[in-house]
Amino acid sequence: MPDAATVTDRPETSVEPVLQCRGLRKAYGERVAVADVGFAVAPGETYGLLGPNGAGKTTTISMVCGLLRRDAGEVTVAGRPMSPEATDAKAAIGLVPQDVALYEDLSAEENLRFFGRLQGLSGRELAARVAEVLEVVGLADRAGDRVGEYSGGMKRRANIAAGLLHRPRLLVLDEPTVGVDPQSRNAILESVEALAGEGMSVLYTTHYMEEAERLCDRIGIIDEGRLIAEGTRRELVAQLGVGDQVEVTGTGDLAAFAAACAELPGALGAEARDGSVVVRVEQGSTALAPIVAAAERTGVAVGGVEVTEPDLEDVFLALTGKALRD
Amino acid sequence: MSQLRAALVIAGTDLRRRLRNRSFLVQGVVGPIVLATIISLAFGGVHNDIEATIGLVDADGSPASAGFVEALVGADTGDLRFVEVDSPEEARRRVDRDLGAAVVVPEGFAASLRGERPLDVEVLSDPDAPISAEVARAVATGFADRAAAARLAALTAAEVGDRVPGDDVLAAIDLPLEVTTTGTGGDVSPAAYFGPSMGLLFLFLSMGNVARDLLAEKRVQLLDRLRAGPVRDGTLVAGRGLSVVAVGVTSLCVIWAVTTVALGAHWGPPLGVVAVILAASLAVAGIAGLVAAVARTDQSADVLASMIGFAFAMVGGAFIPLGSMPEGLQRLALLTPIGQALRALADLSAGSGEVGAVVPQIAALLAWAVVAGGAAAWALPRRVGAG
Ligand SMILES: Nc1ncnc2c1ncn2[C@@H]1O[C@H](COP(=O)(O)OP(=O)(O)OP(=O)(O)O)[C@@H](O)[C@H]1O
Ligand SMILES: [Mg+2]
Repeated sequence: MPDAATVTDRPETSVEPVLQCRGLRKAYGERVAVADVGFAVAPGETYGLLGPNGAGKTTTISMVCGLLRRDAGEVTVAGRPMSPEATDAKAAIGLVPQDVALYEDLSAEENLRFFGRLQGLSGRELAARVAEVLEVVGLADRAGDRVGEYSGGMKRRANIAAGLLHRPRLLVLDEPTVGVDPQSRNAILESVEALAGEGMSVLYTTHYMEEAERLCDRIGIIDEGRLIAEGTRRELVAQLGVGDQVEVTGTGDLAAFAAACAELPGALGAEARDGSVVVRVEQGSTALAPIVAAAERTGVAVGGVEVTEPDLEDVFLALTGKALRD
Repeated sequence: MSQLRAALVIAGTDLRRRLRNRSFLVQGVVGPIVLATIISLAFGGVHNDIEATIGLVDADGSPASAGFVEALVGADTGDLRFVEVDSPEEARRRVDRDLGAAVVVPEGFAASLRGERPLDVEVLSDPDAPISAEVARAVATGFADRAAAARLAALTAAEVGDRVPGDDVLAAIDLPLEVTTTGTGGDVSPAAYFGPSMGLLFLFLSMGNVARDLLAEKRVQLLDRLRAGPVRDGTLVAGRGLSVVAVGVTSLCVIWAVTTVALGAHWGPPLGVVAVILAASLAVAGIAGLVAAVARTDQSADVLASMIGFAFAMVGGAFIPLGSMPEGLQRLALLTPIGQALRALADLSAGSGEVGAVVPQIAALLAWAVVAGGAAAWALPRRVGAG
């Protein structure tokens, strides 16, 4: 419990978070789906919950949205306590479920009008919002077609549109790209980026590391119902303590070059290999210039430089001893 | 956003989806009408004129009963004929042969009006002659009702003055002639009976739809999306209930219109018919909600709905007119909502009842709606809800 609190209470978020949850817990009989999860999403922030199948992402989101009664913990959305009965807190949320949660026998427009009305929209405002969100997801020209006649990717986009109608303070997306072709996936990621760019707060779950890296300002890594690490991509990678890796290919006295590199500020170690030197540094981008200078000093002719950062896959592997799927 | 408005939005969309679906046309309109037409033909045609001979037995011999028999036998009622029969036994023998049905005013009837509990006017009927049975029932009810009214008036008078109502008062019992004369207009056509009976049967059989829809919406997380909005679980359920009522009313009203125009059926005073249709649809909605609260799969929902639907239809007289059932079965039929609705509609159709006469049936249907609907309103939000 104290651990969760230290993870959640980020001193730099002085503005009131759009979503704040603490100590969430949910068990189905013997199986504990979510053991102790707490995090906060600041206004305008995109927060990713990254974890493998069965980690507890959907269960966490269900408690966040007041779909599921929690066994313990607290959720506040836009300052209002969330519960299954809390219609005011729910009004601040736009949920995009993992499945295509639309009526297939209605057109996209009819679906959107329906969900918009339930969000309290009506008249001109409703018509305008429906047209706008159809535009956002690129379905304006197919608005009158029945959702059942859409391709898989189009259904996904319509699914997202339905969560945007009432301009929610917090958009919650549960693995929106699962089972989607690369083209649609890209379209979906772009629209999420665009929405985040307009200042919407987003809670995004995924088990795709690249999506979390691309979209999210901060990422919580969840496994077996627990948040095991949290931070920006860089912070998470820094926790690993292995640093970035800069590989310099070249000719000359590579051993002397490696020794010089090892002395550089921020260097964690350097090693001469066959035709190249591998330097581990805290941050690849800032270490690059000193490394090239060291090469000049030691008379090494540089053929090429490659910087590799450890990714979240490595972080997850280091933390759990397991690989994220894919 | 009020929860009431949300419920109406949900009901509206639900209704729109259902009416647009071809299965509504089949289950809600075409099916019942086709079946009603076929059964009506089997039961002696859909023509308007009633051709029947009804026996009348005056076992009582009181001025009131004599007047009743005399008035009917002497009345010009077209192809509907009334004949006097000497004894209940003879009437019983002839009902299978030259009589369609018979009405027996039992011995001691007039005298019983002075006592605590008046005797019943008995109807003898033949299952193969449902029209005659309905006419006989209408006549008997009309007479008994008026006898009861006269008794009440007499007893009230007796409170003030005389202790017992005299023969003169009882003899003045108004005769139910209007029943028979409107009856010749073709009131009790089989189509007016089987139209609603088949409509109700199909409504009950389609009760599983509510459960099916909720289960399907749960599967694709549509319920999650709805519940993540500012809509309470109870509102979601109420919206579905409203839509079932609307579907029921629509279906029965279309059947009413079609059987009236195409088959010449006469369902009776519109206000009464609408009240019965509404009450029956409310009962269907309540029971459908209960089915949805119990059913865990599509299959179990359908099985439950057809079991309940057919049981109510068989017992309630959807296949054999209530009027031609033995007394005991008629009473059993009234335990089912289909039986109550058909009893009410048959009474309205026969013209023996104004709207007021079917209040007990409407109350019974509403009781079904309240009890089943109440249980569903308690259990169903928990089914769709937050576990
Ligand atoms: N209704 C339920 N009844 C019983 N167990 C459940 C239920 N829902 C989820 N679980 C269990 O809780 C755990 C977490 O499930 P959850 O759906 O939250 O995972 P997830 O991270 O969303 O996985 P995925 O990436 O596959 O969607 C799993 O072990 C799952 O089997
Ligand atoms: Mg999930």
